[in-house]
Amino acid sequence: MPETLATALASVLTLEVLLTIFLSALYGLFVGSIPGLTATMSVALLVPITFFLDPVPAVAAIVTTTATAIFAGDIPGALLRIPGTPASAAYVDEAFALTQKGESEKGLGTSLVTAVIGGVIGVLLLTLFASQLASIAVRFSSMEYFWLGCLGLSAAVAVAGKSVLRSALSLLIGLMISTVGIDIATGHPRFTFGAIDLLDGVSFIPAMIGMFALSQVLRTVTTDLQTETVITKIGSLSRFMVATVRRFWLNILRSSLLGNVLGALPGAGADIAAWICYSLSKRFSKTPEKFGKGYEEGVADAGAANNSAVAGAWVPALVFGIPGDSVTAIGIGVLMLKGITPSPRVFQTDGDLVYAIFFAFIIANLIMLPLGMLAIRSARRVLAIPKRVLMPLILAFSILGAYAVDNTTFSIWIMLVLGLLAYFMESNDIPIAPAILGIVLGKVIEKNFLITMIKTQGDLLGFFERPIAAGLGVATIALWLYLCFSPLLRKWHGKTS
Amino acid sequence: MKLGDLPLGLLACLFGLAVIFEAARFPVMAGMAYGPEFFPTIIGAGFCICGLFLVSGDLRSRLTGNRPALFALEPALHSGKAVLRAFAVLISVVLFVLLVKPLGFLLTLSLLMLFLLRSLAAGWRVSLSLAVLLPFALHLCFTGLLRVPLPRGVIESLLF
Repeated sequence: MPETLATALASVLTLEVLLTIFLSALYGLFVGSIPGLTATMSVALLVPITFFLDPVPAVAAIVTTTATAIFAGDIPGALLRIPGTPASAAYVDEAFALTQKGESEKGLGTSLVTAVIGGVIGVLLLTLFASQLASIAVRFSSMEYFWLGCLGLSAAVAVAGKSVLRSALSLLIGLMISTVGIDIATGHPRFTFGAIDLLDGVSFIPAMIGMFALSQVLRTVTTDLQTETVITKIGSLSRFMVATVRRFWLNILRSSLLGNVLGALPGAGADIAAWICYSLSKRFSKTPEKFGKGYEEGVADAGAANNSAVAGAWVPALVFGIPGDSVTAIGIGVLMLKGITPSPRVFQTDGDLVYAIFFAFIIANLIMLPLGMLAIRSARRVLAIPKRVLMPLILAFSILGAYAVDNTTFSIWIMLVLGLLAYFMESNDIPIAPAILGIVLGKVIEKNFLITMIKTQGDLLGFFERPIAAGLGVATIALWLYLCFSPLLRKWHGKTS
Repeated sequence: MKLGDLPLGLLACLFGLAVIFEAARFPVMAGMAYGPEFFPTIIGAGFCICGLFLVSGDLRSRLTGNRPALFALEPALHSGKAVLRAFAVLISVVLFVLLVKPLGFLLTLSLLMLFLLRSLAAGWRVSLSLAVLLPFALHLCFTGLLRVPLPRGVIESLLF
């Protein structure tokens, strides 16, 4: 173990990796602080470049970009009341109220320092959870993986949006996309309509670029091409950061823990962690009446939670290959391209790589402190970049990114079609996240189902033969029943009371 | 484009039926209880069930006197200019695919950047400088550093 750690540390402390982390942090801070551009989109655009890097710098680039983009989303949130990424939406009013009182440094300082601490605690928990979970999960077989996949999808439906029905529709769209291509058991091409390029399935990275980047470009050019500029002056940050940690250390610790666990649930990402921790913060606060009027406590809680969730999402991703959110779904894709299959054995087979990812994560969170201060200081300039110039640049990167992965223009068609699909889905209040999990998990579920059926010779009860599988199966079915009957129960409850 | 629950539900049902119909034509393998048609059939059924729920919810609300719109255009798309801008984005993607092989990467991207930047009403100076510089920067990055072969055309054969 110490040897693995030493190798991992050595592989991170190279010029290539440190430079990658530094550049990715700048990139993440830049993209995150532009309203409308999400952390997931920044990662999707980065993938074609990571594709040509070694595994450690590739994954380091992804984790650094996510962590910094999630923090940077707070900057336009505090200054303009427009969250840079969805993860900042929970406390945007609070941070903006501080700015209106002329105390923008309080809101921004709090969110920066809590993001750093939340991020570091998140990685430490990730290290702890992932290896523990892996030691149990080594004994898992196709039955357990089948149920885990189902549980992941059901959790995604349960937490993703306001309407279970629309989340389910999104999930089905994702599952449908995952069935395209050659069937694994018989080799029969499914839904390829004669296109040779579709035999391997819908290429994942162009799909991600389309769903997150192209759809966003379309939405921006049709809605807000106007750029708002900041007029606020920002005071000294460091003083407030120390004071915040002293005053709210318990909040930061609590929300880091909870945010990490929430992040690990498939479908629940940094944004949901921030919403839940903000509302808990208000409930447990000694001064709940101050909330909403410009008070740092809620910002401290939610700011720590969303960055801790970023790390938490990697727990199921590394151990089971089941993504905790859309970013880790892309991360898994990149790992697979590098020949590393996430599984409980990943700690034995690629232990140095996994620990290298953890180290890269910690470094990313630490350099966020100085770079984040820089980003806050230069926010005025970044926010003044006109969108009419930025959107064509993003489109050029999207097209090239989609093309570069497979070196074929067919990928650009995939990007176009899925971009339009994502635009249509969002216009109809159908969340995107369940579809992404569906695309990733559809193949996992089908493969493990077929393997189990071959093992048990078609006996469906085989899924409940092993104790852990039976437990997971019961949990999944209970969640399905809850999802089906909770609206009825709510209605009944409303009538009786 | 926002569909009401009724047309959205009907669309989901129709799509689900089409998937089930297509899956039924997949070959059945002897000795295999669950073949390539099994999962698509479940997914198709899922679409149908979701669609029926949407339709029934919509009809129920119609019975209580509500009249939800069947179809609504987002406020953003009411402006003709916004639609044209979205169209410019989409046409750029399509043109890139069609032109990149005959014209080469540098020329195609230059022309499209100029077209798109001007469509979004960016200034001439910014548009021209980006249209010239960006393709070269990306070309350097992708072919030089990342070793991705980009389609070659007139400019590439003159310069490289």
